[in-house]
Amino acid sequence: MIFFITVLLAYTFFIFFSVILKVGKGNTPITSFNQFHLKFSATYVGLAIAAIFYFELEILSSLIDIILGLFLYFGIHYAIFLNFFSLAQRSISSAILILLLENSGTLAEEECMKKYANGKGFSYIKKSRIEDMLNLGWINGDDQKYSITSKGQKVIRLVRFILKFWGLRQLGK
Amino acid sequence: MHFVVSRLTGSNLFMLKGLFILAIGLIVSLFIFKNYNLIPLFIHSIFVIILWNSFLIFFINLQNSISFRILREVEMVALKSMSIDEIEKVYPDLKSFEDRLEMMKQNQFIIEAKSQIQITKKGKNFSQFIILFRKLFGIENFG
Repeated sequence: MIFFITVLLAYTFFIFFSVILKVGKGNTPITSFNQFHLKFSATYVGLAIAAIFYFELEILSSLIDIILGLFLYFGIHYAIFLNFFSLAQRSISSAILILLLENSGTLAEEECMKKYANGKGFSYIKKSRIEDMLNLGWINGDDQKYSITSKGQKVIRLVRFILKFWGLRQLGK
Repeated sequence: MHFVVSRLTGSNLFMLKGLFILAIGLIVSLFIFKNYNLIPLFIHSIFVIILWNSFLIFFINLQNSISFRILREVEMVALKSMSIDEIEKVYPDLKSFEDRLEMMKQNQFIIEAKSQIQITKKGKNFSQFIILFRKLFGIENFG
């Protein structure tokens, strides 16, 4: 229980400082947020070690609890909180909804596409995703010719297999 | 259970179905372990929620990712390569936009009539929450 409270405390501090420092203000908000979270994991470890000495706990048996706590610290972030952050920063649906809200709740389809991403237009999505895939090494080349790499082929075959096995369909299919 | 539900009902309302299964799982386990100490049970439930949420997000990303959609189009052609114009032909921005609108309609965030998109009350509440979130964390670059 002590380590559970320590995790919650460390994560609350992390959120508090993320808000104070406006960690999402750069060009790569998600990366900055994750990097800050990783650095902050030291706070959890520090608090956990302090708890061992303060409550005079047995070091060896506390190690497993600290590791479980670390899993929880990363779990809360990657499985729960980061999804809200991604919704705010990267979600296409959220961006469209905010655009609608900023335009008295109604927009023509064409206008909505034009105004997307601070006026960059909806084509920005494709460009940004292609850039992501280039960085991940799934494709290579330039606008004249993008080729799928062997890594990219493995990824998409795996995706297709999982979706088919689970009876799910891909976007737009 | 999730596998059976997915196989039978497909992708529609994926998150809602996933959360419903989680709720059933948690209620059943609380019932089974009702005589145990509540604190470890609560901590274990948090672990289950985290793992289950990761599982759902993993599938949501596989289904909704535009990157995977583009990657699949490139993988399907014989030469395994495409120019940006060819990608635009097989997966136009308009189609990508309409796919997204369709999903938002299904989730009752918007209604659409005569090429006009209108936000619903649910959509308004959701977007206000996102705006607040953006302001709190200083997110200026999005999309």
